[in-house]
Amino acid sequence: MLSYFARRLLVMIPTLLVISLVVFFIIQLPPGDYLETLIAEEQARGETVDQERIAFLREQYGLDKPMIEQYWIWLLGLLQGDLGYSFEFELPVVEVIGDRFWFTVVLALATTLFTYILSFPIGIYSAVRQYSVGDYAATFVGYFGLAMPNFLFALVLLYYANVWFGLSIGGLMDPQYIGAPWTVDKVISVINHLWIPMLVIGTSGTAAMIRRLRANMLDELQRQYVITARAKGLSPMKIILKYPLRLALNPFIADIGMILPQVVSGAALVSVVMDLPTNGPLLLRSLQSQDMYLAGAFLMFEATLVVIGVFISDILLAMLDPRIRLGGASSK
Amino acid sequence: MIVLRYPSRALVGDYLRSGAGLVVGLGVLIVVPPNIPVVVIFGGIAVLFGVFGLRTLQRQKLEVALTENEIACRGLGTKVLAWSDLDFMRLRYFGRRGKRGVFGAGFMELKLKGAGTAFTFESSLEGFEKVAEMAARSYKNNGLSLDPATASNLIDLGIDSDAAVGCDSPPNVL
Repeated sequence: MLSYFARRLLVMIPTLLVISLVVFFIIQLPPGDYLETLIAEEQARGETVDQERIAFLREQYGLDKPMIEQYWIWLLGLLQGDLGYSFEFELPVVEVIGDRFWFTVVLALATTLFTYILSFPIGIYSAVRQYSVGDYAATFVGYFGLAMPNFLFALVLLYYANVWFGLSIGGLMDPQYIGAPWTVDKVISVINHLWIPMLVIGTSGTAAMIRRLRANMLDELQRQYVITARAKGLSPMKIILKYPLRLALNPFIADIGMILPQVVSGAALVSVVMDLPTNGPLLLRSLQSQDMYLAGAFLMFEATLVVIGVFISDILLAMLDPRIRLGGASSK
Repeated sequence: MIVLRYPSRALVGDYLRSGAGLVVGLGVLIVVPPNIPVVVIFGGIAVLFGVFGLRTLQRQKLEVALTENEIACRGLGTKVLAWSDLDFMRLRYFGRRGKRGVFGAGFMELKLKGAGTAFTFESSLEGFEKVAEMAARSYKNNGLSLDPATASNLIDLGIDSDAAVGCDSPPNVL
């Protein structure tokens, strides 16, 4: 296991380095930089551009240095937790992201829990009671969740919550708590608002997970070892829980690699529609305004979380799932 | 008695991995001004690959002796396990992402336990199949049944665990 761990970890390091290089060059790709955009904006407004100030800013942010040197400074900064400076907000990126990061984490965790808690029993029931009324109902919900785009579901919920109940369900807290210090009332307000985006974002994931768990379970339930276990008189519950369910869990574990990046992107479209103070809208805004260090921090963080997520899921799968070599020679 | 070793060419890769990991871990610790996350993450990487390097060194010195009655390992210390004491056997395959050929097809790991002694061997050990075969035979002779993944992996090594108790290895009844 140590060998496997070391080998996988060693693959991660060059992967992250290459990703950082690609991310940095991608954020440099658009013609010009933020300061040139600033100059163009000031000229468009008919204001005189203070060249000395621009030169000072260029030197201050290291934009006058060769690209490779800029990359090296950025990389060293990342390693020290310095994500750079946001030109648009004129603040360090860490301060710009601020509470948004934690809101996104809470929302991503709540959504993940919602997805797992709901899809787990429904998926198993749907497979064990195949073609029953319950299975058809779960299938209908599954296809509905898959077919309905999240942002559309958000719009529909926003509309009907307002028309039927007179409620404004946008945002992640009541307006009076925005920017206010953290209190018990503010936490309660966040919890009260959390279920709507959790429902909206989680529906499609839940639906997909139900379908996958059902398909995997059906596959396993038809295996010979299950028939043998039944013939030997093992209780139905034990048969399901001991092997088929364990094997059908693999997609859940493999999904960890995809869950972590959501912490950063935070379902951007839904966040825009529902006015959620998560990372998603900020990422979109930074890309539009060429706020390179803010966008770069998000992209780098997201890529890092993908790599870490895949690493964790690989290690968990190696621990939980006894692998069988199928043909070919293992390396010596 | 058969004596088995890890061939040097099989350990070169592990030494290189260990060196690369140490360079990255220690390199960042030297270049970047220390702060808690950097020390924890990259210090952890350096320690992990240091341990990995030491284990590779231990493997280089390791000698595995096989007899009909026991298995013994001599490296930094000496461990002996009588086949009749074997009460745990697991053969696992660790695959790798991507196409075979670039990084190889993965490797197998054999774990044996009994009488308070534990052994772990990787498939790079010369004569790994022989160890697996003798362990499977003894395991069956001890009245224990192999888990399905281990049995399947044995078959892939060309060892039929069900036949292991058959004509090839008659139980010692005389």
